[in-house]
Amino acid sequence: MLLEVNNLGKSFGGVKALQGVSFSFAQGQIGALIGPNGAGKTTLFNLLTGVFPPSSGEIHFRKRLLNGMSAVQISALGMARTFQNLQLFTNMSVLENVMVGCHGQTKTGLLGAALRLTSRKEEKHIRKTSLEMLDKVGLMDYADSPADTLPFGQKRLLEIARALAMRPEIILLDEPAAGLNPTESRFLVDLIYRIRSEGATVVLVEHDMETVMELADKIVVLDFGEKIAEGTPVEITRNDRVIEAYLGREVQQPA
Amino acid sequence: MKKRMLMLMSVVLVFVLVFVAGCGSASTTAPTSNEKKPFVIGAVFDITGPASSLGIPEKNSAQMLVDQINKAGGINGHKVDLKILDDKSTPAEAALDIKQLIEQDHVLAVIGASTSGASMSMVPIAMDKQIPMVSAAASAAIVRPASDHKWIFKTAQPDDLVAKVVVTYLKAHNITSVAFMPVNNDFGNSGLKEFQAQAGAAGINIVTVQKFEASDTDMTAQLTKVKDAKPQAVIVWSTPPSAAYVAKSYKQLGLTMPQIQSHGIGNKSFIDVAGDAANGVIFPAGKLLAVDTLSASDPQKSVLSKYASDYQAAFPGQALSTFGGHAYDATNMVLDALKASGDNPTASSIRDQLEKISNYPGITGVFNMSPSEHNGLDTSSMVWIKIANGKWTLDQN
Amino acid sequence: MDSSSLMQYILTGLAQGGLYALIGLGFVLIYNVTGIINFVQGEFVMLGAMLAVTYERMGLPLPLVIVFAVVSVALIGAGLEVISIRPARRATPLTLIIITIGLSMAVRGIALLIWGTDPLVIPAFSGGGPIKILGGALMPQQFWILGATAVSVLGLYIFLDLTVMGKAFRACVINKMGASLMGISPRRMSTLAFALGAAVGALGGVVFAPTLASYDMGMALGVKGFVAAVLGGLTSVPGVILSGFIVGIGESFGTAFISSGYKDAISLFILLLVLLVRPQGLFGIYGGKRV
Repeated sequence: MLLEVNNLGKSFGGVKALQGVSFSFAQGQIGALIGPNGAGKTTLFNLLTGVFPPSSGEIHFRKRLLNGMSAVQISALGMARTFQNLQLFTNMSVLENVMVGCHGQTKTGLLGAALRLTSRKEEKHIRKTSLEMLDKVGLMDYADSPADTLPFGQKRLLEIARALAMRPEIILLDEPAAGLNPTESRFLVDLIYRIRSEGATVVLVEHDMETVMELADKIVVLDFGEKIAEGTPVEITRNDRVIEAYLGREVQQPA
Repeated sequence: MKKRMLMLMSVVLVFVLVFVAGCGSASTTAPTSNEKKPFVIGAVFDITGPASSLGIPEKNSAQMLVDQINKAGGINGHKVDLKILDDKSTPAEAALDIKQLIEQDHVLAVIGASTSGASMSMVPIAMDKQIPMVSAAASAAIVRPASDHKWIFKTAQPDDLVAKVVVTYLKAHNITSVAFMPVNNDFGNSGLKEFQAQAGAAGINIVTVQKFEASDTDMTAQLTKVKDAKPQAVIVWSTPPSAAYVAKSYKQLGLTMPQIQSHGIGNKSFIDVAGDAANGVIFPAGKLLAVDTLSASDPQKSVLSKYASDYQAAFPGQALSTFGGHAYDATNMVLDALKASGDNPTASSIRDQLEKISNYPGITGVFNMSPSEHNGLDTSSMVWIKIANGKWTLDQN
Repeated sequence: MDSSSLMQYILTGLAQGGLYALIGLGFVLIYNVTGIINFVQGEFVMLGAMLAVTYERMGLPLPLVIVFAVVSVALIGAGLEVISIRPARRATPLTLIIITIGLSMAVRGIALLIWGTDPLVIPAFSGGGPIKILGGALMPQQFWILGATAVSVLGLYIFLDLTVMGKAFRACVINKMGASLMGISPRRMSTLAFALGAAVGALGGVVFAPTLASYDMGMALGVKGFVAAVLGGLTSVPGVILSGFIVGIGESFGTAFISSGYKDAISLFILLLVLLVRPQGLFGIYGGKRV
């Protein structure tokens, strides 16, 4: 398994945000985490990427224990992510954002960079790769625009391009379809397939059930910080607890 | 916890380093195992801080003299224990230092401090504790009037004497309008006061007074004002490095009228910092700077030559300075007063001996102390020095 | 006052202001990444000047003197960050600032032990007399100071805008969390910031060395750089450069028309006034883009 989570828990000052969660995703899968608001999906992403450490349990990625590693170390192992609330580098151009994602591929060390800057060849190569990433997400035309000025949907795509620039083994997408119009959603679905076909594993947190059911090979359902189900989309739609706890509640909520 | 420890450790390390740095600069003579009790005397010099170019040769000179005496067997069989403290060029530290010397080390006499400001802050304490103090600083106010300064003496030429030498020079060269640039501290302000007091009577008009701070490094703003006032000559009353920056800015603005500096620049530091901007500057100073060109008949010739060769042997590579001479004279006077006081010298016996000094050739001049005069120098102690090609030369004009 | 005198005050202020801008730049670089007001900044200037004297006396040619001094101080800056700031980086900014104050005292103390108390100088970089501009005069060395300021700004622009490492540095300034998830280590960037800040300060010290190199020069110059940095909003490069010149010229006129004794008071007064009216500084964006 590429990513294995065992009995994972996280509490914030006594409040249990996550408790006893175990699941795994295999290489090349498209996985999804679903659940009602406050189920702990984003918390789980934050634990996986090392934003904060777990309170209990273990995370293994590429057979390595991630507990105790910093976000920087985890990203170096090949984990990239995007954010539900965008974390773009405002004040920088679209292309520069992607180039920062390539940062890990520079060979020049800190000292070298401080003394004689990065080598020109390396620089050129990174620029080229970054433009390819922009092309892949369809933002080529905006390369030199400030990242701030992009429309919302394209900011999401830029975050994905930036994450892809890191050449990750696994890419975690936090609600990538939120706020996208149907055309953009369509493009996103295609993009995710393409990412997978190029060898990366994708894990997404998503509210839009239609997108999830179409894309995912495997779905993990969370509710109140606990895993209530795990399986293929077909299995999930037939699972009583899911229907009761997740879909059922959604029915009760006025739309 | 580990991080916290590391952080605390670095803070502790910092304080240790600062403490070591603070201790490294002061030195004391180790007590000897001589049977007779050593005579303890104290000294306060500006060893660090802006006036360190004065304080370091002073410390060296005093220490050298005491080492010589101890090597020769001490005074009447008693070794001399010289305790030197650094006042960091601040009057407040100087006051604390003299208190420590008197109350903890029980010194018989105190030498110092290097600058007028620091010395002035020591005067009331020496007076109160009735301990003789011999300052190496310039300001006449340190010892005047002598009736109110029973315990205080000094060796450097007083400002009023130097002011008199300068006024005489100006009159001889028919200069009647000058700009005066004092450094804004006790030395400069006292020089300004003394000069103002004498200039008027001599028909010399001060067209502008432009002060600067001891820490300033660019005087073009002040000198631009001087330039606008069009004086015939500029008189600068300061010590290096600020005195040197006046010379530098002088050159920058291309000013051509004579630049007369004070006896405050009698050390190599002025020429080092000012570089070729020092050339052409004239100033009154003790004879030490012209020791090689002095005639053999000069009463100070032999003592000057001895000091010059001793100092350069003890501190190779360090240039002579008149300030070292002030401390040398002060230390010498105290040691001679100890010698004359017999086996049981007291503060008051030393004071009485100091007051009896007469026809005493020193580095700074020939001293004649009296109950009404605790500096004891006249204008014959000074010569005019001109800086040419980065060297001091006797100016005969 | 004629126009040539006026010109002289302006030129004097510009030359001095260039130095303040350079020192302030170091404050801005380090503050942007670490959120620390680095009180060692003035000591970096001092070390630059002192090492320039040392290398010059070893007989090295001027270009090597400049490069060696700047690189040495950059390494010292990085080293200080690693041994003192990094272990304590979870401490509050106030604690970190106090650490830098302690560090500055230590650096000064060590410099005193190494170089002693005598003010030292090296020869001016280029000879020749004062250069006249519209009735005012500047020494060639003052052009070197202004040149060093220009070179630093240009160098920083090239580094920050045109290199990947520079972009990573900026990314870390804009969004620390985002950057660390991109594999950019805020710790390394903090070290880099100290190295860059130290290098810029050292360059200021080197070009100032023909005027003064003294173990205790750092504090006074550091305060001027600090005023320029805060006046400029603490985060803005153009802001700090402009503010440096404002402080320099304000000082020059203050010396001429009020008194040299109030020079420091004047710059601090301007600072207080600006902070009261515009807490974000003259050029700052309120709240800052710092994360």
